[in-house]
Amino acid sequence: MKTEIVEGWPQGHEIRILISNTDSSQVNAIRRALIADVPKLAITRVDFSQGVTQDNKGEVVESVNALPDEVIAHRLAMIPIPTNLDEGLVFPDACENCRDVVEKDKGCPMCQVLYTLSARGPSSDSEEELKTVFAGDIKTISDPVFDIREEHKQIPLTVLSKGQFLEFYAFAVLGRGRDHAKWSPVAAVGFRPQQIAVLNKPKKAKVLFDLGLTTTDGTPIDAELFGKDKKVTNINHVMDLEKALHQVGAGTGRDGDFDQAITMDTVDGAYVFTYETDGSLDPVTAFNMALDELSTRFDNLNEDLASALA
Amino acid sequence: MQEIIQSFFKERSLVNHQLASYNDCIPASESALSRMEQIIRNIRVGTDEDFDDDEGGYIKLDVAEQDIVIRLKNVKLGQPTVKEANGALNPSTPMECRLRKLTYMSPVTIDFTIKRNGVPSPTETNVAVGNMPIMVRSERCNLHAKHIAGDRVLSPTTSDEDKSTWHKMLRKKGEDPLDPGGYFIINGTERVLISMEDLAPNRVTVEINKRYAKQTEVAKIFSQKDGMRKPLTVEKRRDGMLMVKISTAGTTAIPVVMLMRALGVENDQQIFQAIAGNTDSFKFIVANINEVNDNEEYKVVTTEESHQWLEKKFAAGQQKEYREARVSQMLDRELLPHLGDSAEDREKKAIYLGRIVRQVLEMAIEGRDPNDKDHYANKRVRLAGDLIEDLFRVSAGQLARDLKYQLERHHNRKRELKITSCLRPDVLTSKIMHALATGNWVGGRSGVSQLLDRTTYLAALSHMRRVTSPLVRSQPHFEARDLHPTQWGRLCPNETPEGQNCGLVKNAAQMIDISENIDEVEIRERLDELDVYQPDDWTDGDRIHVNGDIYGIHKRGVKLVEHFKSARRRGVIPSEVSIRHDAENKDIFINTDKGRILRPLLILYGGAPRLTQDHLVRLNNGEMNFRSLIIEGVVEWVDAEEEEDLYIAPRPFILPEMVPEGDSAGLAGRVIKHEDIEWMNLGQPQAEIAHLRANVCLPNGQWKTTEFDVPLEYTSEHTHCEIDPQLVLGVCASLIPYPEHNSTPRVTGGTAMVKQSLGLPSANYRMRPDTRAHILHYPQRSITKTRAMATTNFDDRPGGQNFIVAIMSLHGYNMQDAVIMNKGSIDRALGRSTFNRTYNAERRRFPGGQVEEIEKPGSSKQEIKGLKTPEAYMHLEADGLPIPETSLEGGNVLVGKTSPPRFLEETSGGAFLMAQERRESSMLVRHGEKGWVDNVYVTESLDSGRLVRVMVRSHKVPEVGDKFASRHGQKGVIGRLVNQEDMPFTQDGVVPDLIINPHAIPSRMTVAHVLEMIGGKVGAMEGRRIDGTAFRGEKESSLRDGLVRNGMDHTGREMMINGETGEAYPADIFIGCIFYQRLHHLVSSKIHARSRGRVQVLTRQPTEGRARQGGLRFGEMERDCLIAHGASMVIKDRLLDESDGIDMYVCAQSGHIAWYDPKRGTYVSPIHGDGAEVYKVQTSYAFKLLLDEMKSLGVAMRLELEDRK
Repeated sequence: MKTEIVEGWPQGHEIRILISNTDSSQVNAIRRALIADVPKLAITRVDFSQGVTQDNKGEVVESVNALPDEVIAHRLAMIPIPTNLDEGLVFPDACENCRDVVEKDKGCPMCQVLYTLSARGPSSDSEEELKTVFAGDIKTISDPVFDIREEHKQIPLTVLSKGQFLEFYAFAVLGRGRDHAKWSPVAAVGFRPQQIAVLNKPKKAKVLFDLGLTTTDGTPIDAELFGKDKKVTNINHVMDLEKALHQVGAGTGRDGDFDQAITMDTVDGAYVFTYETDGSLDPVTAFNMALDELSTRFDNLNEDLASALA
Repeated sequence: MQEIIQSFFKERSLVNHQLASYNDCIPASESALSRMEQIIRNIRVGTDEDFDDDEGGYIKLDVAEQDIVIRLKNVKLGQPTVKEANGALNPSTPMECRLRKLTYMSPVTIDFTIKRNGVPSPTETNVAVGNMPIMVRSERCNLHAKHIAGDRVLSPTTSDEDKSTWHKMLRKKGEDPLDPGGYFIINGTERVLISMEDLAPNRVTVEINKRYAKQTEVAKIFSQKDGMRKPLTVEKRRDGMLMVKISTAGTTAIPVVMLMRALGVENDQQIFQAIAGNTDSFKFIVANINEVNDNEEYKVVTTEESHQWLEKKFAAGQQKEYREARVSQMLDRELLPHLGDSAEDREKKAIYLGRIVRQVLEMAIEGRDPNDKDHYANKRVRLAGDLIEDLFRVSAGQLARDLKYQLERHHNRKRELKITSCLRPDVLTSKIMHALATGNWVGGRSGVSQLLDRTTYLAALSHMRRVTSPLVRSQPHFEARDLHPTQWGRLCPNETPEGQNCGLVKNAAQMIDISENIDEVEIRERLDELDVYQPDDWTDGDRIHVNGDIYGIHKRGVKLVEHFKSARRRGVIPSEVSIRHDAENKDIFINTDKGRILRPLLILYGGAPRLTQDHLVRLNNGEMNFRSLIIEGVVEWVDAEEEEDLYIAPRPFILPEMVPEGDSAGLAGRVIKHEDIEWMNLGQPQAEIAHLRANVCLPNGQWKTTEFDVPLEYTSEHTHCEIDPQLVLGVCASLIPYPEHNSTPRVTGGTAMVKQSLGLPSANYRMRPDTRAHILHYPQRSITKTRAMATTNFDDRPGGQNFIVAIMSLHGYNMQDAVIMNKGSIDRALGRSTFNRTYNAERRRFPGGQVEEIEKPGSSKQEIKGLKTPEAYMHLEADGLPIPETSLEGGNVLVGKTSPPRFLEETSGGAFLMAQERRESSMLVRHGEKGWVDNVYVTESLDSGRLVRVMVRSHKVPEVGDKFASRHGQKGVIGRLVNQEDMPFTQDGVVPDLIINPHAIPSRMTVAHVLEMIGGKVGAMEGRRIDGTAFRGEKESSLRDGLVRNGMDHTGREMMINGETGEAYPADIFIGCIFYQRLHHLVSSKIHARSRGRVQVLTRQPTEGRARQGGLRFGEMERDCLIAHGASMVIKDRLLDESDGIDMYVCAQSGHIAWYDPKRGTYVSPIHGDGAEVYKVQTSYAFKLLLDEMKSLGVAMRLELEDRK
């Protein structure tokens, strides 16, 4: 198996990877590992402050707001937590510090990341009626590398009105997507066989070229795109072309005139693997971690087999 | 023409009919004589006299020597108030009433004057006579824009600033600004008065009565006046005799001629003239007259004789005075009371009777068609105001009679007469409240008031727009259940329940109004001006009927109708008056009565609407409102009767799917949709084509404009045009996208399920103390929308989410309408909801000064029976209430409470004079439920008892067995949750949230379901909402174009890959995005199992039902199965051993039940004592119970024992 990042990617959290010399079941194994096996941090426990208190200005505030605690907790779980495994984080059940501790005392700097939030609704003399609490208001008590990423700071958590406050400690731990989707770092993981577009009938292909379509990078879809050898091999262009071909496909009324002017040739054993991450990991790291997970699993299998046969 | 609809709903709430009808009933400041005032002024107790003065109601006391009369008038309704136990009066709000289990009501006051021998004493003004429930958001409600801001009157419909102030104030009062109102709050529960459909009163209907092989012609009329309903039938018997039956007076049939004579029309000639119509009918009339004149049975010629005959039949064997009184009462009160109830009105009645007979003869002889009873022109809807009016009339009458009795007593004790000290205000209040609380109305109807359905916002809306028919459910009434063409635009064709109430329970269409009563005197004067006269010869022109009663004739009926309509369009005649010209029969019907369902139509003048683009612009920017459209004669209200005369174009033009040839920009063949169209020559007179300008989307996503012409659908022959065809649907059906592509039963099923969907029922859900409330966590607007979603507020109070749905099979877990869901989606909170249950605990007072205590049981020194361990009360605070956010499970203590000992309860000590123990009677969390304590309300109920309401909130995550449905009647339960990595996915990595089975589609023909999936897919790709409004939604070709534009196959199918193996499925799979609803049938609230458990005390059989941890019944049919199998031991096991089997001792000698005496170690027979021959017999406890119950009847059963074989 050979992997290669497609030219121009990753773009943000999205990536396209060309995997060749393989078959679909192996590519799928990577996909499954990405979704279900890659470790990721997610908030899994939240301790809310409850009751009625006075803030420093003497205003009485109550721990209620538009959403109940379990809904806020779930919203917190959905926030992508920057997962930096260089910090030496371990899974809670593999944590040496916490192994022999009773359930309620589990959790230590080795296996969890701590966040806190303290927000008040608008003060009673304020013009504002409501205050929205954002994910950006959450601060980590652990290492600053775990601070919520800039692009996720705009995620709204809840709305506070006058006389309300929200205060909690949230604990993020490592987990895997197979246990809960909050630990799944990726979305829209798919793959397709690598294809090469071949221009068979340049005259009839005008039906498509005349529609004035462009590829995602802005290149017009026309004869020029195919070049001298009348082929498109650029993976990004082929994918755009594949979509564009629907404009002249069955049911459009143009398929007769087009008459298979452009066809797609499949490259054997090569797949374009596409996905994006939620931002907790960058796509390349996620991919490597998925492969690591797979290889560890097979190593373990080997070991088990060896010990069983010995 | 969406602008017209929007401006309509800007002014009116969706339950405007309820509010308007209630407002019409109650005394408001401006109107002179409200319906309640009329009722009070018409009160007559202790007299039969009629008064034409302005003194109001009349109560005459039956007292010796003096002539004491009470006059009452000027009903006033105060503002809604709570009267606290300490006597304090405070203005109340609906939310306070909901929270404190109070009734939202206002005091009613009346002015009384006592006259002794004609000398009035000073008027007692504003005497409180009781309370009336106030409809929320009505004119008398504290939340109404008139009252909410104190002295400042807000006008939210015209001023945006006022609107936001109003909404802000509503929120301050704990209300949802989008709550429509239209319901009452009785003892803290919201109750709706269901509108009733009834046959139009005071209208003659002729029908053919087929009994066996016989056929008779009958005319029926329900004469109604002031809530009195007196039916009358006139039958032409097979022998030609015309007989009248007054069913309230008795079953005896009276010959018509006899009755007319009794009414004072003695002369044969006069009788003949009153009836005579067609020459063919003459012989019948003559024969009838002769029969009454000559037949031995009658032999009646004069009024005097006919009275005697009636006396003999209806008051036989009574005193002379009584007999006379009885007959005149019958003639004045029972016979056609709507024409009047005094002796002067008798002649009028005779003539009216003659006309009824003529109609019967016309049908019998000329073969005219009988009236269509199901025609909506013959139906009237009785709304909340009418129902409250009935209730108030009866209650006020009762109050007046009670007052009379109390005053007489006071007088006889020689006390000074004072209304305030004699009047019992609870008479009126309790009568009204009882009716509203139970739904048992005056006149014996039940189910009139119902608990408002708050499952979802739409359920509440639809509930308040419901119309029921009083027909008995058990009888077939096939015709009455059918959809009648005249219901078009008035009642929803789809929204009706399935099963026994099908077609009897209906729902209003979107844009309707229900007519209010308009005084017909005004109309008659108008007719006089238009040269209507009362002739001798009634055939000389068109006969004009006003409210079913003939008024006069007019030579040129067509002209008259034209004048009348144009006067109405100018606003000279009220818009709610209808006129119909039956040219064939030369009849003109004018209706001014209340309860007719009206619908608006665009008026066409010579083949063009008066509506112009300018109107639409002005409607949009608020310079114009819907009412001004009526006044300008652009739109008019039409009832079912008038609609018979009209020729209505269903739509102005049909939009082609594609730009036609010859357009201005050469874009022929490109798809177009309604929302991108502008009608350029709207309102242009004599236009024969519609000139349209369209925005067209090209394949590369660019837009171009083109113009083209399409033919108009209306001609100069058309009188009207529909505003929008989708208005025929009701609020529920209008939310279904593309309903015209579905089979009707599926739409009907869809409307039923919308009402069960979880969503956002109201914005104040965190406060509302509903016993059960579901709130969906992330409700979404549907991608495939309809236009009605804006007007019904469904966009702001949605009831579902957009799911990615694939149609395929997956390991067979979606067989038989099951669905497969993605566990990843559920982890991300798809379909998640919160369930709130409110528990009530009250500190009740018992007679004798004993009270229940809400406390932490065991905290005082008192001994308490049945006390649980201290841990069970750990989470309670000292006041016995739970700490909020405590997690509780079924059986845990929610509110700690102790009760005083029951009367003469046996004490554990045995000493009789020992202090008796209090009992532990804490309120527990329901079995099988769990959750967190949410709000805890502590308040006082009206009798000064402490009332605690605790809300317990629980989290409901979709699980196997939960029910989901699309809007197309496609429902199913979750069959399996599949991990995200195992789900099939597209090449782009899209994983469906839900997978339905392909078998769900073809036999049910829910094409709209498929269309919506495509629509949702295009909408999701392009980030826009697709218009799926009925009859005018984005066309299929446009949707397919959208798919292709976004690089997808036009079929909506995509290649999908097996998530477990990575192999592509051999067939492409249809996948799209569609709005799904989670229905409130959740497994967690239904799951139930039991092994051993509670039994009933009486029978010792297992209890029944989930709430009582009951067993599952092993019924007769199940038993039959086992018998057929011969599995006798299983039968015994189920029916005896696992039910109520006991070992019983029987004395073999006496056959009586014996017992074991453990002290002596012997068996004792009731007859033979210790030494009896006693055997152990196994039997069911129910059998022993039978023996005992027989004994209580004095029958001693004896058992004969024999050896077991």
